[in-house]
Amino acid sequence: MQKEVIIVIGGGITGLTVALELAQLGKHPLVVERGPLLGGRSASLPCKATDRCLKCNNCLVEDTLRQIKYDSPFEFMTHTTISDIRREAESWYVTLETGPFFIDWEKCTDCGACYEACARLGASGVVRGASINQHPFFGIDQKACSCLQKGADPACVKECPEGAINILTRPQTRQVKAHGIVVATGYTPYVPPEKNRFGYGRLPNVITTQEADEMLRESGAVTRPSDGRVPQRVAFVQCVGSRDRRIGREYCSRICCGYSLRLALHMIHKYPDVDITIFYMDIQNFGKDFEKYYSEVKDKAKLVRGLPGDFYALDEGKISVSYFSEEQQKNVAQPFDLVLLTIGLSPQEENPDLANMLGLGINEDGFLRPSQADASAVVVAGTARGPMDVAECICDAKSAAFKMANFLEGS
Amino acid sequence: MNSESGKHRVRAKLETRAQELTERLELQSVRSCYICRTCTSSCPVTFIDPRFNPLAILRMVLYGKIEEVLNSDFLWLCTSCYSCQERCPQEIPIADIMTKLKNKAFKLGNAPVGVRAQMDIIKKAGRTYPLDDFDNKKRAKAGLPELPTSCDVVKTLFESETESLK
Repeated sequence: MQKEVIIVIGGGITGLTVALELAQLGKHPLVVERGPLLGGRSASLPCKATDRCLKCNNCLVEDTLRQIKYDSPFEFMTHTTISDIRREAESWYVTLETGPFFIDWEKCTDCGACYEACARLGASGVVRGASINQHPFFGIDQKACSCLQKGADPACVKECPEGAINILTRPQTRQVKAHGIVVATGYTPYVPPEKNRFGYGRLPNVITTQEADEMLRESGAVTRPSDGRVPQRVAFVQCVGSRDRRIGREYCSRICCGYSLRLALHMIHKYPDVDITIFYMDIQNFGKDFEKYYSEVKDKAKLVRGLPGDFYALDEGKISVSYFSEEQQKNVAQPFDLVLLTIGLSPQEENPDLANMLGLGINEDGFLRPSQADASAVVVAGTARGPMDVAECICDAKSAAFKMANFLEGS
Repeated sequence: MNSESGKHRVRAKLETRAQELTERLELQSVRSCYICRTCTSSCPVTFIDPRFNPLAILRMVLYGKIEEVLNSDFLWLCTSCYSCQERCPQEIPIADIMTKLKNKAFKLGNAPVGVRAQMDIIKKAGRTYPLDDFDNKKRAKAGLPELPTSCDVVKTLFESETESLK
């Protein structure tokens, strides 16, 4: 019998979970990831536990990555994009483009010689994963490669003891016949525009939660970018990049409220002196045990209903934040050491093209929507469908794998 | 007729009146407000005088208290700086609403004395700050060209404008 290949687009937590489930059901998933590493954005999410688990579920990503690293249950391709999809009768003909730079993960032993060679040249062409469970742990960012820009032979290729780094003059193409496609292309984090009232990009101590995540993952603490010190007064600004008609994002991103409450509790546990203020318009409680964290934060931090207006620079990298104080019934300006913008989830820019190729729809928020006519041959899962957290992504991925398996058995 | 039902009838009448007024002034967009308070925290006037609160005014309009807004003095504190309108995530034209409310209040004769005095000055001189020969002497000393002391063209424009406001 011919192998029933299912193309899984996207190697984030959703795509990997779908592939794992399908592999366990005896199918043959092929994960296609355009970036250099597996795990996607979820791999850089940190654990936010205090003295107990806050159930942010980010460790589930580690479990999945570990399983893939040690069992290699399915085939995957990194540095790979889809250039063409054709449908003929019951099957899809997908053209994949790999490279021109890529690390052969079957040869790579994650020794790090390439990373060191690149760092010696002062470049950042070789990127490193965020989790030790990621394999491949290293990848190549073509745009940041200084050797290629100078026209020199890349240093990493010579340094690799296994000869795992491939550099080709043009991308390698491969055509795959697939019986089904799972779309798990995920989201893009919202980046405030150049001119924004929060001072993001202008004031060094105004950062997004994505940057805070990376910091927490890298060094274990959220510190001030300007001097590396632990902040005394921290402001969280909710709903940046969601629920705003002005930027075309009228939906709630769902994950941000839970995110801020957990990070606030984590910071208070680590530095009991820290003074946290959360500015919000509504606290949207999605997920299990949410109310418990909410009431805990209400005791330990200050929750201010209403988004702040102006952000001005003060001495020593401090930021003056003005807001309407309910107790005083007037506008007040308060200094903060660090401002965290809780950014929302945005749809991927490529969604319209992908929808065109696969015959999917786009919902009013810009996320992908399975078409009614042909819902089972193409399944959309995870944040490609709309905002959701890690646990919801895993649930959605499992149901998507089940749907796909059902479809394959039926045909 | 007992007094309870009479009260109800009066209240119902007042509510319909407020609703009618809101619709006539095209203020229905206030319904999409979700109280994020960006307008109030961005307002430079609220910093100085907390009696002026854009969100509170929008809420009063929404809850049928439009006549109280029209009779108030705080409405006239708005400087039309448009900070609220620029930042409102629901794109409610807050500053334009304030202008509409001020125009209506003026028609009802609720404008403060200062505003009326200002209007009279413009009517007479065509400027908020009338010029005379003394000012032109000072300008000549500073090497600046002479300016006309009266602006009759503005006056005629103004007449037609007050007609339409009545």
